[in-house]
Amino acid sequence: MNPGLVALAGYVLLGLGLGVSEALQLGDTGIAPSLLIPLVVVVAMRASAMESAWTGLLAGLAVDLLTEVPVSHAGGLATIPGPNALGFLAASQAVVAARGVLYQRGAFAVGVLSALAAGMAHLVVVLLMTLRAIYDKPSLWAPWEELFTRAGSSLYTGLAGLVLGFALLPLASLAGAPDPSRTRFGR
Amino acid sequence: MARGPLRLPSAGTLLFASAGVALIVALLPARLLGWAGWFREPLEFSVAPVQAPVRSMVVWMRGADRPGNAGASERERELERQLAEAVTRLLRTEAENEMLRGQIDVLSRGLEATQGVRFRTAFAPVIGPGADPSTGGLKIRLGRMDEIDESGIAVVHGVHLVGRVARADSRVSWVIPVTERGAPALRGVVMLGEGSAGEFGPRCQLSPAGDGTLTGPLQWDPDRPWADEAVREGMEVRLDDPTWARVAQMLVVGKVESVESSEATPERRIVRVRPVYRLDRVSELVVRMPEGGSGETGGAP
Repeated sequence: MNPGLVALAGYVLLGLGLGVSEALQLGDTGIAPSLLIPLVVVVAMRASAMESAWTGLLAGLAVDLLTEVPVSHAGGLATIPGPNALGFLAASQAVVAARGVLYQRGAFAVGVLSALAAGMAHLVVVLLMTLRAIYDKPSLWAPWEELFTRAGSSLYTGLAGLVLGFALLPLASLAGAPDPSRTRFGR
Repeated sequence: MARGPLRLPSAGTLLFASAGVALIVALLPARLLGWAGWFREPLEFSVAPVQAPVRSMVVWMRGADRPGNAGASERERELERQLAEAVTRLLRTEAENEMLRGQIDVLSRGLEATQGVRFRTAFAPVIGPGADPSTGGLKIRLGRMDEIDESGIAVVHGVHLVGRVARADSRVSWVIPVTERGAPALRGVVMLGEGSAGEFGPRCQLSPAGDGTLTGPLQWDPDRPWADEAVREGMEVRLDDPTWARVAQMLVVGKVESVESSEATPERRIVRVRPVYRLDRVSELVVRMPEGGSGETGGAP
């Protein structure tokens, strides 16, 4: 898969996601879709496990670096590289594991897998942040609240994946990762 | 002895090592992660060309967040803004007078008159929130290169408080809206009566409720026991918090949305305050930077 094209798509989706996240947010709930997860999912559906893992790790790292986490009651912020990187990595590997049993590989599959991948990524983030909150005081992390919000965001990401799938799947073919089900020996 | 060619680690080994490093870094205490900002800033800068136009388009499609008289002309809006600014200055002067009276009562000798609050302002387009929407904060296109630092106070439409500048990088800064989950509690004062020209009412300690409002108990004033009973919906609440800079005092926090009795102690009244503008959806704000003695705080005693 052409890494340059994937990086370009990631860059555009990252900027696009930052620009529209408020507009797509459901009320004041904090529930908003991730536009990067569908890209990670499409790469994981089409590319090798190694390429998928790197894509997940780097996309998650970009999210980490662009996220400011409140860490003190005085309004202090911190950038914490790692939680989303590992979450996206786990998500990409979950899709790699699941792609073998996919019956169809169209936009609907991207939507379903995006919801699952986002759920996996958010679970890892919540686990790591909750672990941090045990010893990194003061902490403003509310695990249950985050878990519910992120569960909603995961479902919403599935919807975004369904829409983005129509654009990302042809892009994956352009990037040199055709649908394996259409190749002679593909599953 | 001849050495073999240098062997580079495989992609799998590199990936495993990178994931290990990510795990270690993810669990480091926040105080050891200051260096992460070195990488964040260039990434923010490089993403901004995509993010900013998209956000501008979203704001344009949604329409400007303008409460009040929707049919007012730009000139009328400017006059409204100037009037609000004048009222804020008047109230700040009154609050300072009150503070001075308190100090005169305490000190036996005269006090040097408090100088007027001086500040400079800078317009800041809002680039947007962070990559993870569940964690708050507004990124603005002003930074240390524009002489903005953590003493800055962000306002919208002249006198409506948005929040403090929590972090200033060289080109961009982060503002935490006062309504954001995790934002520190603040002390406000309810303005009794109609509009902005009411008299000072009871104070209240307000914390973010997580739904875009602030909530907290009204403080009972033994000198004016009737005051908290006089609080009604729609009354204005202004900042009166000595832990905030003087340039922030008497800025509008919002309007009273509801007043209810506390479930635990019915004699205590809980006030819910909603900012006039949705702080997470502003497209442009103004940063007030105190001039001379940036850390100076104030407020009525």
